[in-house]
Amino acid sequence: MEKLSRSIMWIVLLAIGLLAVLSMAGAFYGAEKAKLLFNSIPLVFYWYLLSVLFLAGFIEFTRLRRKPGLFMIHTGCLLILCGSMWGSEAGHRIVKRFFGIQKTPNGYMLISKGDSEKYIMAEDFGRRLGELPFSIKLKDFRIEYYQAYEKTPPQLDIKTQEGQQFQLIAKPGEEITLGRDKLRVVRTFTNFRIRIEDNKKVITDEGPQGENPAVEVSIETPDGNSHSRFVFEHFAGFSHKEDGLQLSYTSQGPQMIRDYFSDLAIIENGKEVLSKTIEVNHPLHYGGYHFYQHSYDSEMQKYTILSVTSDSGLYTVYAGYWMLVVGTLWQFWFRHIAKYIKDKKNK
Amino acid sequence: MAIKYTFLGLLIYLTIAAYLFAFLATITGKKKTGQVIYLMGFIAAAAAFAYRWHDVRHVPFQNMFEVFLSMGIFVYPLSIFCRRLLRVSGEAVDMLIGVILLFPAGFVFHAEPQMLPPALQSWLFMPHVAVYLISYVIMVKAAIQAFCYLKDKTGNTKENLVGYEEGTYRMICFGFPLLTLGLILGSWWGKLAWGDYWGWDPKELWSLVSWLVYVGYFHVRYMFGQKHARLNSSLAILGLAAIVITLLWVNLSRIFPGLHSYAG
Repeated sequence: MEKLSRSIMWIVLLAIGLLAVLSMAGAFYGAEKAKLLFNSIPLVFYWYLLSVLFLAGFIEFTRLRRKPGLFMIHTGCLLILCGSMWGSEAGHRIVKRFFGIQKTPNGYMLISKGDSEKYIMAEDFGRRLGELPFSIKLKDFRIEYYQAYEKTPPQLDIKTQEGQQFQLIAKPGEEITLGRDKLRVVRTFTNFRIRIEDNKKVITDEGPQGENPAVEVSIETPDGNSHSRFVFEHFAGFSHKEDGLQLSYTSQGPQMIRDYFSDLAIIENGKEVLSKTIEVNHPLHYGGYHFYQHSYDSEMQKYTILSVTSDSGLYTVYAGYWMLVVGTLWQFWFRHIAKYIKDKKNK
Repeated sequence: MAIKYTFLGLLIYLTIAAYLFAFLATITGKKKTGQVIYLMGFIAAAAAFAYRWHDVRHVPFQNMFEVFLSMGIFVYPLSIFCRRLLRVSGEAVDMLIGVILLFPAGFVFHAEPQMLPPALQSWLFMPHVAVYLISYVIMVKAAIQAFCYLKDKTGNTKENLVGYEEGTYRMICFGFPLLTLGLILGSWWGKLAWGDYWGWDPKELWSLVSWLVYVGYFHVRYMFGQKHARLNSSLAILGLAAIVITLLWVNLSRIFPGLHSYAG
């Protein structure tokens, strides 16, 4: 091996070793800090050096140009590197500065049912990061649960002033002693409502829709007095001054979520140009952005949270992926299989 | 200890016993008997895998119990393939690898079935995990070849089999494309599920480390050939160490919390 080739190979080995050591360090730091580390200024220089090394390799080593497998592996790595640099925050700033194309690299959108939104926000929704050239409307949001799990009975969670916690099956007649007091379940509601009839408040259960599940409990004190309380599923942990009990009601046992769906529509110039139901693993792609089902309103299911990512550089990365995969398969498998078949034929 | 008094447990213990007896038969010179018992062990392992798949209603790759159960069935076909086509020795050791891989499924991890969370409901789930598990078993075999080279440089050349150094190289050449495919499929899936093809998650970083060790192996071997064969072999063993950390330490230790924690 010539001196220059050997020098390049030594630098390559050092670069591989350094990346391995930094990756190990990053794993100990955790994803957040690792991301900062790999996007820091010294590491940006490292990524550029790595790109230059690939180019130097193509110039210096004829094997890399002539052997299809090796060519694809190294070109694939270079494309992944270029694509990820293009898609980075710095890449977006450079594109904006030199080509005038303004895109927000990533962010979040919180959209309530029936509303439209076009602003991309920071994760805490305290800062606006960018504006889309179109709006996204949330038509509906829904959750699907696994059917295999049997429903467990409704449950009342009780926390006393002293911090003691109790659980009680929320069925009429069930009772529990809390120190000197006694708590008894009076009745349950699938949809609690108050009506005014003849100037009097009448409490009714307007099931079966179950929009406001609640339970009525009676708390008896040692002196024989008792008072009623209504515990609403949507207001967990609510506490009354008179008894100091924190009560939470769950009308159904915990069910495991199978998937959650957001029915979205793209609104451009006042018209709906596209509609799609997104779920985990099935994002929406429009206008140079991907929209992912990120989170949702876990209590009322009134809004959805989307994560938004610009697609800049993505297809370059994907092209690199496939070149890398096909290259390794060609270099390590297919050319040997082809040779094996050829040898067998010649025999 | 999580001993399983179930039909699935019975199949796992049968496989472990079969692999163990096959190993003992092979090293005591009863090779044909060993082969028959090895095949029976594979059938029991395949039955356990199929039973689990039917039981949980998804490919059993979700947690550590299922991962080790699945790796137990890859050992036999890979062992036969490596001996007949790649001419790489070590069939008796493969039987022992089968025992070691199935031991955690039989005695360490709990087997309670779990529903798939939304992120795992993707067509990429099966190929991503499958190629990784197969590549891991191959790399275990590569590391054993490398270890044998460090102990005894010659290797078994009597039965038209290659030496340990060449055996290590062939095994890594066989496993590396799968390791690469696993990494790429994982990255692609990450993009679809979480919105980013690379999240700097500890599992991702350790899998990159594993991949880089083998990349380093190829570059060192290209640079020096077999001049520093002990260095080549050491890198193959280092690659396995990185794989063990990726598979076990990252998921089981609280040091590395991340997006892949559900696999624990």
